[in-house]
Amino acid sequence: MKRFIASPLFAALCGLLAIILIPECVANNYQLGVLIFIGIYTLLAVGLNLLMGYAGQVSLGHAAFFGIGAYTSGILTTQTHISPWLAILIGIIITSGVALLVGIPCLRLKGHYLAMATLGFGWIVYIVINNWKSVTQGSSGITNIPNLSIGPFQFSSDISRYYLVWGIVIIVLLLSANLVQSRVGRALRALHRSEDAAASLGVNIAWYKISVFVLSAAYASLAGSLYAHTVNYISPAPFGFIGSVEIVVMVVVGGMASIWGALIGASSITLLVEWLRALGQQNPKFQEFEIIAHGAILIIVMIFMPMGLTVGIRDSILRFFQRMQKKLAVAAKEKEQVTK
Amino acid sequence: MDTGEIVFMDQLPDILQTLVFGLAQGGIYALIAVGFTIIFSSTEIVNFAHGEFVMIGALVSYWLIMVLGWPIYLAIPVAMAVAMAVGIVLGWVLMRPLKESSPVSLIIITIGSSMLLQGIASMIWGKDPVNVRSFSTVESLSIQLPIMQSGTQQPALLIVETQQLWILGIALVVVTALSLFFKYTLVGKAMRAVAANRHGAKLTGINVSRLVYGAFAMAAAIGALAGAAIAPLSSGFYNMGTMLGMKGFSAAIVGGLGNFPGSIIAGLLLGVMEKFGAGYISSAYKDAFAFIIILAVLIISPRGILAFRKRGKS
Amino acid sequence: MNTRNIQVFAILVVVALTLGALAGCGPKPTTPGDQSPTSPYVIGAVFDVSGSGSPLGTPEQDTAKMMEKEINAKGGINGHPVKLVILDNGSDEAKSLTAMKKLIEQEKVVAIIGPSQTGTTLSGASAVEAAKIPMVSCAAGVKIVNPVQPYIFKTAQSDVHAVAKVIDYLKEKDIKQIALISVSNPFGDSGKEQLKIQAAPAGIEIVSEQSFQGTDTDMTAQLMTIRKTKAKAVICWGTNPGPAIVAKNMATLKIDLPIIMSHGIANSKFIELAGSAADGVVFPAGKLLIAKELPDTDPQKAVLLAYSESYKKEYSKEADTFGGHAYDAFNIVCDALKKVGSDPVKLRDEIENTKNYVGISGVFNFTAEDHNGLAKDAFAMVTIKDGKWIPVK
Repeated sequence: MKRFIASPLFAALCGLLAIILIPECVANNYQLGVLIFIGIYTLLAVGLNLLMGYAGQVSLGHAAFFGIGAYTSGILTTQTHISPWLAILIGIIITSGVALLVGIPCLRLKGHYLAMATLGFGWIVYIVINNWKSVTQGSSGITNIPNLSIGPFQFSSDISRYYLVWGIVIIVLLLSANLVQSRVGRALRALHRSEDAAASLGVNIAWYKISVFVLSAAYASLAGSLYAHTVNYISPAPFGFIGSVEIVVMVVVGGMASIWGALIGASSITLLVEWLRALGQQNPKFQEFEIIAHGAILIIVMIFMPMGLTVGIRDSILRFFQRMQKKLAVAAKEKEQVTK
Repeated sequence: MDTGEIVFMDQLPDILQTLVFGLAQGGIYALIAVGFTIIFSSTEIVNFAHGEFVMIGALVSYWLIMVLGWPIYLAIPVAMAVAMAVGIVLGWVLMRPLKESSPVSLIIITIGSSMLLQGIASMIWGKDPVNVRSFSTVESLSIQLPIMQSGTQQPALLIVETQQLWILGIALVVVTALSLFFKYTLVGKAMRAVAANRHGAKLTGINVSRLVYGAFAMAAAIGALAGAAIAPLSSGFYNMGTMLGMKGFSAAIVGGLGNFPGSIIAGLLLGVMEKFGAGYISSAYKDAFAFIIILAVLIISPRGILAFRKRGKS
Repeated sequence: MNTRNIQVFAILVVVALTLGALAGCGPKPTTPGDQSPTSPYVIGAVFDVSGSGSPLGTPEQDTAKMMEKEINAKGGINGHPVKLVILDNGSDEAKSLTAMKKLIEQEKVVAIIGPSQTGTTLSGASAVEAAKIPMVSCAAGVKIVNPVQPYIFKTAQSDVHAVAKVIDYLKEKDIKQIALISVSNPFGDSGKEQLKIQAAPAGIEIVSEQSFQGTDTDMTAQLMTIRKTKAKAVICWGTNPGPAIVAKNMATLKIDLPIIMSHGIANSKFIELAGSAADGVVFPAGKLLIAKELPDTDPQKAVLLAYSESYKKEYSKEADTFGGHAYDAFNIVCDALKKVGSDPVKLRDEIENTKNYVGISGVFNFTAEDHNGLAKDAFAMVTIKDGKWIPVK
């Protein structure tokens, strides 16, 4: 039993339960819409978390993979009328191919040089999407992207999209949690601590790095396709440098090297924006402070929880329990003394 | 003369003109890149808020010069001082969690600071771009070249904006001052020591945290100077720092992080490449062109363009 | 409690917090179907107040707030006060969509005005259609109303008409070769596309096509390329600060060609930024800029003067065309509300029936096929002389 509770499967079941129950508590499409975006960002963050947290490689161009996925889906389903599901698959294949081509030379670079290379790559993709007008329709974007569907059933309502997106998120989270626990995960962590040590133990560093890079790109592509089919419109804007930075922020704020950190990061950043906006709506004077508050909260979280929210929350809970235990112990001692 | 040479002679004035504009643009990138490098060498932090120093320089100097009517020689030092104060505060914030945090969480703090500073700037100066007057009253100079303008019998003209000369002059002065500073002053030497080996430097009794503040102040001042210098050409606005910061960051990396001559050369090259890319290849793809070259440089020489020189030493 | 248990616990905490947060920004208890004669009409607005679209979204938000105040001071619509709920989408497409959903679901708005840009409008289009709530956008892109979607309208003039006006001007001046330099965003791209479509039939050749990024600080390289061509005029399609830099760079390079720009520079900011280089620039603009110079017979004159006067009084700065788009959107929605009340379907039908509404951007006549409702006389050609706008004769 104890082992079961400790397994990712248990966490996933908890999550599943939560996902089924949440729509019972939040009834309206706005809240479902926010949750759908949280799901999509979670997919992005999980992929980047594998890359940053486990393999220790920073990518500042992850929105490019997000964009390639979204645009493959958008273009194929509006121009050729193939099944959107097939388009998602093609998107993942294309994105993985691109990631492989970019990854092989770039992953030889380390640290900030790798960050720069991915930034440059992301920028190039953004410019191509903007200017390759005959295919991408340029900056004004692609409209009327169809919904996903199974047979006659269309994923057009928010509730159906919510279940679809979160179903996929749960599968991806489970897969990733298993991956992290497996031999591959151990190899990745070893690689993060010390590449040389890992190499001397016979870990094929280059191979592991490239596969994680490709895997995280594939997740991003999947997220992009889901974005295209839930918004029904795409333009280059979300897939630029700022988009890439936002994904990094989600990963780090959530906590690196933790699959659940991705979930927590994506939800807390998305909810933060909605919450600040709600404040601004109630008090118009606050509107101007929104971006300032957003920045300040990021700074404060990172100062007090430099390992991210997951570890931060865990530690504070631990500390709370320790304090409780201590208090109980002190109380018990006092009692003892009194009885003596 | 064969025809190829004639075509080249026809093109020459334009090529020179593009080169001049490219160097001026690159001068700005170089100044920003130097700031990145200063902070990186003393703290190993990549400061994503560095572009905001540029913005502060541009907007504070706008406010002093255009709104309050201060003379330029007074306004710019004050703008630099404001940026320095902001830089020191940022350095202080970044020193807080230094113990257990990864470099990436420090980067997130700089991203948060960047949002914060942009928000404050947009509250003070609004969101519209603002105009600053040039440093010199004569706005541009025309130099006659000893070549004929193609298709006409007039001598070709090379046009230089005086503001561009200012930018190049400032870049030159800053570079010279910095290299003297690092070579001959005790503080400069200490900073280099910290960059080379942080713990070693600490053991020799160098006060590392004070040097970090110094580095932030210097980088901020240089960034603000760059901002004040480019504002008359391009106008200033609250989020101008994002793009300039990114270009400066690229130059700093390509130059080899922590390598001063490298970042200057890379900055100038980036500017020149952009202009030639826009003029001779495609203006739509000019940034892509610059980044492709950056990627190629990184892949061929993963530690920046001047790395081959260092190889022998280490 | 071992680490992993706590981790699971942490997740549950986050789920609970998420629920709490969502419930916190959740709906206030409203009584649906409250049709009492004094219940407020809630109109939603989404503007690009922060981020890249802020030069558009800010005056739009200001104007909308001013209009709300004005209409309520006059006693509202048929006794119903108007409540305007404005949300900022941060110029982000995903956030724009969530903002619209929030207005529809939680604020129960009867109609939405805004957003300010093409991308932020289109990203919410399918949600608005599905909810059957009319939306009157303030963005310029043709894609918003072409193809027509039943619930989506827009008040900003389409580039089609601005370009048509420019082409007329070129024909009049007998200019046959033009060079085009445009900003790389939906505004510039859409202008470029229209110019390409309309130039050829008019016998005008585009000899060079250049572009620049919105944040570029120098366009000399592109202009030198243009200088080498046979272009007889330079057309620049963009919004501040790019066009001002183009004008300054052209002066620096001593390129002595006529400059024709777009309605994107129809604000005093352009003159301030470009300085003396602004002189002689010709561009199509909504009539707000030259309201005082218009003949008294012009139907828009009174409306234009009234708007710019009250805007100046409220905010002590000049009104601009972007604010005008919000003015028109607000009035069109309110006029329809006055006639048919707050049922969104009836409201949509009534908006589509809007005829001869005299607004800031022109005289609107919506039809089932045309959800922009403007003709090319919504624009007038304007030139700048000594830092002042004057109509081109």
